[in-house]
Amino acid sequence: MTATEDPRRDDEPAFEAPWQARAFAIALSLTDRGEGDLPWDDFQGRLVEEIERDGESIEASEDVYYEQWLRALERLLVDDGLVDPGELDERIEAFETGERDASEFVIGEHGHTHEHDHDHHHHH
Amino acid sequence: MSDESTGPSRAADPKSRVRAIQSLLIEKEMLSTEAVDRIISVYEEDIGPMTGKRVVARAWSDPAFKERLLDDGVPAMAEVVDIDDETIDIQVVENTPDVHNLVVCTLCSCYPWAVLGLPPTWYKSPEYRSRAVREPREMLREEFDCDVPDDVGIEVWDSNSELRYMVLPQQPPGTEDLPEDELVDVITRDSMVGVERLGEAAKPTP
Repeated sequence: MTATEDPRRDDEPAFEAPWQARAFAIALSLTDRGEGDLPWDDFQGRLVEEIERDGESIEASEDVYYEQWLRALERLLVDDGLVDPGELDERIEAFETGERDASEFVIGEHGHTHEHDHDHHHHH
Repeated sequence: MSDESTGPSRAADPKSRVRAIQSLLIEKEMLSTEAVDRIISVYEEDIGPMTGKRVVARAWSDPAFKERLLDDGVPAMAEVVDIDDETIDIQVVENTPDVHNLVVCTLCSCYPWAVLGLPPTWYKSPEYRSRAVREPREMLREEFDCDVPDDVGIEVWDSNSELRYMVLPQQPPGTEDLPEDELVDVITRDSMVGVERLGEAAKPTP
């Protein structure tokens, strides 16, 4: 009997794409449901609004759900003044064009170890 | 499509939008890649319905535990499984010969993550969210092939950000003598959401 070995068993995979996992984890990490300080309810309220906005017009899927999740996260960050809409657009563009890529999240590469011992602010 | 107030660059690939957020927040020292990776790994590898199954198996085997579980869910669960006591409150609702319980989140997708993992797609669908409340009996029969006898009432529990629900299914006849590590095989995720009734399938073959 190996029932206790695999905690997922009859469940579907948690995420269908890496971006869904990342969007999920970022929201959790920022809020008091995870490791951060933002009230979860502030995020959840926006998620409810995004789900309502789509209504029953779209067939349910993980892509649709995490798109709603991501819009809620974007709105929370902008509404709270944590991220400027202009800088967000610029950064999205940088990833779209390939000027930046996910290698910047690989710990140890490019010196991006996120320690506090280097100045990483680019004022132009 | 209405783009008003829906945030920046909706047309862009979600992959780039998520990366942009992560990149900016790391730069602002509000987030670390380690934290993001840690959360992903917990939800992909550690958290799933097995946690809930072990709790249910114990409740079937130990009446005193069941009483504690129904009284105050999370502290009782912590006796059996590794669960963060900072976790959102989870109320366990017991199926009886007279009552069948069904869990839904009418507004979004609140779900007892800590014991069942992330919700399946259907749980987040507009159809489920509205029908579970409006006509649970019909929905269970038509969508889940789950017949709740007419003399059994259905109670619907609407989850929210403060309180989540998990169903304690009835123990199928013939499984009373099984040890907990075999009982877990009888229990399903769907039975702990309330869209399945354990029974016929679990009965021993004559």
